[in-house]
Amino acid sequence: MSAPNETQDKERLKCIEEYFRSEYADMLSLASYLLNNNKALAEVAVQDTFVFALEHMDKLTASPNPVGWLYNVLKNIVRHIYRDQQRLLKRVVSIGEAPELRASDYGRDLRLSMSSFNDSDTILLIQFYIQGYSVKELARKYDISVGACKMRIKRAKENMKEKYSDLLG
Amino acid sequence: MSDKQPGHKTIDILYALNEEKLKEILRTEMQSDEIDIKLIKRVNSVLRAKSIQQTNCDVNASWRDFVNEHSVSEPLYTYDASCGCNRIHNLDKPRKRSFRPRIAIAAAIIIVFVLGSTITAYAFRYNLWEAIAGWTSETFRFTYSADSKEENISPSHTANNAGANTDLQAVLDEYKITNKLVPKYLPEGFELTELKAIDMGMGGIINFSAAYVKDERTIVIHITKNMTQSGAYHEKDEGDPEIYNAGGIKHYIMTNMGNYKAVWVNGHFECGICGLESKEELIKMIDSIYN
Repeated sequence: MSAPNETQDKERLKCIEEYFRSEYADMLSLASYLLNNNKALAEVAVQDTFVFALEHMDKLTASPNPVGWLYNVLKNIVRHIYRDQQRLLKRVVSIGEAPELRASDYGRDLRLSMSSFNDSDTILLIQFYIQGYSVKELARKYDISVGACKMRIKRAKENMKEKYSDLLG
Repeated sequence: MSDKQPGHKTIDILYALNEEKLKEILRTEMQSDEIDIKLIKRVNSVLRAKSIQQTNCDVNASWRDFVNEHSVSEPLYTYDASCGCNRIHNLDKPRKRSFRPRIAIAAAIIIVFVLGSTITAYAFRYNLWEAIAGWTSETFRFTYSADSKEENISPSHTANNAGANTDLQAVLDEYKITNKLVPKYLPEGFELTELKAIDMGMGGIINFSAAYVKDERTIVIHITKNMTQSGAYHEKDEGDPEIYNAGGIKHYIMTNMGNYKAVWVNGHFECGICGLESKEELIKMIDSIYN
């Protein structure tokens, strides 16, 4: 990476850091309440909001209300996460052992028989969206990087959509 | 417009609300086009104080995670402007729609009165009494910043129904209601078949309704005085309502099963017209209220 790019990256990070430190806690609380107190998903929502802000710094700084701009991005992302979580829950209930799975359980004590799911990526998906493991915890558990963990979650989502679309549409 | 309430007074008022109501404020706020950041922060601080499960947030550690991991890897989610929907939560499961014949009042309008528990009046945005519109893909409702404290009304005679009155305006006149609420225009061929004034027996809520029928079609006008804080649910088709301004009032126009309807608030009255085949006819009816 050339020196000017490194300088620009540092400047952008510095600019984002100010917003991050002042808004992170409130945004995390808000996302958590909107996502049924699922802290792992809320963390992803807020982190990805700031990743988007970092990539679109020009829009953030040009906005007359930068904090409002951040909350709008968060709102959009939370909506997508919630939708994915609900879809996955429907699929899991259909293909897993439904009597053990209660829709209101989003915590670690969810009793779910994993024997219905025979690939590790799908189990990863369920652990993330339903059982509340954070990306970092899953990365540690499977001994992979956070980036690799996110890629596996994304891939598992696509595979599940493809595999079970005839079941649930 | 800005929040005119002093910060400490608003916090005191927010503390009087339970967790569910505070979360409802957050959800409603996240649905609006202009998010009130100050209000969100105040509600968050009250929720954190009240919450049994404390949300511990190590901002330093989170920043380190951001710098070392999240900002250098592909995000799981990104902003998708093409989704076009700015509503949050309440993503209802799609219902199977079946044809329902147009019949009289009880089935043409599905109104669920949600009674609030002990509700303390609080200043939500600007004034104590304010209606806030909110909707999902399937329902629309107004929520109110407080229970209406308007004086109870009663008809000049003892009958608890429309009795021999010839039209809805006459009924409102009996109750000495002076707000302009009733359309003077009705699409051609429709005739009044049902007229009711019902005291719900709780907190001074009175529901007025009139049904007009032509062949198999029914138009219904409903007016509710002293709506509870939680408001009433109105069924709708998917999509955002359109706002139509008339008489200084915002009328929310939407469709339900393909028919046009409008809902609005005038003073302490929540009003609605439903069952119109065309938006033009609906707008004519709305305009005629104020002309």
